[in-house]
Amino acid sequence: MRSAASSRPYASIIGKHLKRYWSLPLLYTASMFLAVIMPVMLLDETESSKQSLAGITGQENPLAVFLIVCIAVSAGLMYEYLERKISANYMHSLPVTRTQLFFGTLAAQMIVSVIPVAVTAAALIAMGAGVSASLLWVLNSVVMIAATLAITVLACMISGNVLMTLFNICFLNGVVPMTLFLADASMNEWIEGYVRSDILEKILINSLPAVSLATGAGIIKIAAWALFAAVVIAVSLMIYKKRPIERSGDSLVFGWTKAALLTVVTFLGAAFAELLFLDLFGKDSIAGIVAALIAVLSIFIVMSILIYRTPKVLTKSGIVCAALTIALIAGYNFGFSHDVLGIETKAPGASEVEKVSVEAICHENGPRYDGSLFKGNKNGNIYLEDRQNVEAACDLQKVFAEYLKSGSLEGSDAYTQAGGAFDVSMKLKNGRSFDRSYSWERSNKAINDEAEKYLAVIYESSEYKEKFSFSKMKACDSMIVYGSGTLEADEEESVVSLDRKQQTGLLAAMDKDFQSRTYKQETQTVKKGYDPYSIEMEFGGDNYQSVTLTVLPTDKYTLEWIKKNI
Amino acid sequence: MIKVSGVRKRFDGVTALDGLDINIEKGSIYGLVGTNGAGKTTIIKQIMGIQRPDEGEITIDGQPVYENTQVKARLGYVSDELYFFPGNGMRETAKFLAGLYPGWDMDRFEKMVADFGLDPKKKITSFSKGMQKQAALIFALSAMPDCLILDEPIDGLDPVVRLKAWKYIIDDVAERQTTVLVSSHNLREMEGYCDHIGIISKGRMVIERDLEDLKSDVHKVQIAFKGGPVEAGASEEAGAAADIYGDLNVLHKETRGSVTLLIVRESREKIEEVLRAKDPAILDILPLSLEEIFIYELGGESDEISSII
Repeated sequence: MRSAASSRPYASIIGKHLKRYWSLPLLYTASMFLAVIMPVMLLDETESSKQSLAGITGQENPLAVFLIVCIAVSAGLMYEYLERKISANYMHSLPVTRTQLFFGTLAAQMIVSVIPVAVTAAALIAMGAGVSASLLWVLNSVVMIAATLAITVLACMISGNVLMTLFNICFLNGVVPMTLFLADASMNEWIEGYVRSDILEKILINSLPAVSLATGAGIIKIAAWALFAAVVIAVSLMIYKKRPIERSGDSLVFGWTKAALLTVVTFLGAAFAELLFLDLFGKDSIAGIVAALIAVLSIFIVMSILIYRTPKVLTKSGIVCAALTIALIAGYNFGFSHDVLGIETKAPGASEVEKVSVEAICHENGPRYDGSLFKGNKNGNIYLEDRQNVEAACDLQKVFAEYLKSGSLEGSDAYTQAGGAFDVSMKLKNGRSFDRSYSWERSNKAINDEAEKYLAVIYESSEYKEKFSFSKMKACDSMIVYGSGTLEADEEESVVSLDRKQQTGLLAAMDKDFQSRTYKQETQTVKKGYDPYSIEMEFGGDNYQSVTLTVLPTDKYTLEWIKKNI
Repeated sequence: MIKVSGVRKRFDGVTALDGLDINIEKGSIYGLVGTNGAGKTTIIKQIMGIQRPDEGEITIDGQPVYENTQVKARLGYVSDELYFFPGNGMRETAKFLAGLYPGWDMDRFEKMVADFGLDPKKKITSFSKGMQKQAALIFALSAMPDCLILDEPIDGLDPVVRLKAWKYIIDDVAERQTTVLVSSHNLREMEGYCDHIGIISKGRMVIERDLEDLKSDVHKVQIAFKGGPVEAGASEEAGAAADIYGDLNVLHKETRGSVTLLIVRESREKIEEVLRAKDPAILDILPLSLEEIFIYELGGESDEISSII
């Protein structure tokens, strides 16, 4: 009996993979059921059960996300036939094109990955989760799988053996967040005043498909990751078509990638080791330098053995990679330590700035005014728009920029040595943000006197007093007055919890003091012998917060109210 | 049918194939022989479309092979290194291959499995090496290929199974004009079945001929003269004696006692004509085996080899 005249390559390839990997969808469906569905089924209360279902379909269940990532990575290993010469030769001797092999395997991977998701979605709907929410969860999960699978497939295409494939899966997934994290940590270490921008945070969170899609996925994000998956798959196919089969079994199938990978991994390892050990031991510490060098050498040797598959590291390639890495490290150190990009000395002109937010303006009394404690400010920033306040903030930024051209605030710790703090966030007219954070010691006259001058302008402005008035604060759940100047006091008469009426009275008195207080009064150090009262305010709801304010000796209305009413 | 033209292939700076040309006619059994590392397996992989040559062209019936499923569907292949899907028996693998080869003949597959005595339900990976070779051959032949490419297919098989295997191959050649390319180190066996021979060395073709023509062109001559061996420089007449073979293309000369052994690439008639004129006491002209042609053409003579011959 002869078979049909036409061949069925896709059906044959997909069937072959599904027969071999039939246990994968079974395993993951069972895992999803036990880890994700069954806990919901065991909940007694309908409300808790509904919340859990909403959490799952909203991608808030980390275990479900983790399992979905595992499905995608393990399904991606269906390309393992490429990782050995003998199987690679066999598969490519068959009457199938590389495109057919590639897409046939990819289709099998998607089938294997989607089955657990589909079964779980059916279970969610049966348990009462909304149909549209469940379908959106399916779409979100499928795109999560596709994007994670795409990275895994790319790793398989450039790798020649299973060990390097696993390494490259981790590397390709982690290289972007690692590089961003390194840039952020380096800036934090080297650049004075650096504040991580919101954009960088957003990019960090969204640099991994699973994390990105699990932290709030709308249609645009889903479409973006679907496009990403398509592009990476297309690139992987191009690589596959060029892949020399004779290199299967080697670590990396394209020779030039060996030197590139060794250099990049060693550089990243060196940069992290430097940050870690010099932070642990101190910047000029010999022990820190030695520890960092040992770490770098170890990374280089291990990676060299993995990639070149020989214990000989002093080969021509090894020496070239070592030289490149040293050059990169030197460039990295020089660039950051000398602020080649001029980040430290940037100071936007007032005409470029639309509004400013200045926090920790009154460090002495702790984080007394947190923007999120005020009505209508969810993100915690209260912006000042009066030109005098904008100009004052810009002028103060210029003072710091000038100072840092030749000086350093390093070593000063405002929180332990009676220092000052200036956290500024500027919204520029071009839509960008400019954020900085400085702290200095009061004994640094050059900075302190200038800072006090400009911060006083801001603190004593009518806009500041109006926006930070106690009358604009959210209602607190509780207010406690601690007497004798100690929060740990356990004498009953020293700790008084106020009722609603008392809270209103005390807040009014506190606001009167705030409105008339000068900046100098705000930042005065507490004199020895003065035993201030402390007022603790608690705010409940979704984000619990607690604020403790120290009553100053100049707060006459507050002191009067406390003596009269408590 | 199979044409390899000027193929070059390099691996990590090593030239495996250096401008190799091969011509295999339809319906012939072509034996590809060469020393270890000559490039036999490499060129077979290029012909099968597994690897792509750096330079040159490989065509089957005028069609390029690489990434050409229509051409590859007409090829049957038994590799020197066998691979089977883990966990699969003969039938599962057959079903998979039936979906790829349009000419797949399941009846033939079942017949051959029974004929070779293999258990179709057992996992192929649990077969012995010899049984795996048989399985690979069954798969290749069941695809009803127009070209059969065999890389050391018979090594490791017992004589009975070898005969059976060759019978199937010869039947296909006779009935369906199947073209066979076989690479093997078992030259004695190849001599019995091949009609064309290609000898390659260091990635190049050294000789490519019809086997009978090749054998008729090279002869082993045993010659002895009255008065002992004739050696260059042995006497005053040595100068004249050294020219005694001057009219012949002598590949190899060796003296054993009173007898001189010559390997001569000339026609039998010319050898007789030239040497009989010297009035030898003994003159025997013998055909060379393929093994001997291989050794002398490739200059692979060493003390071990000469002592064996």
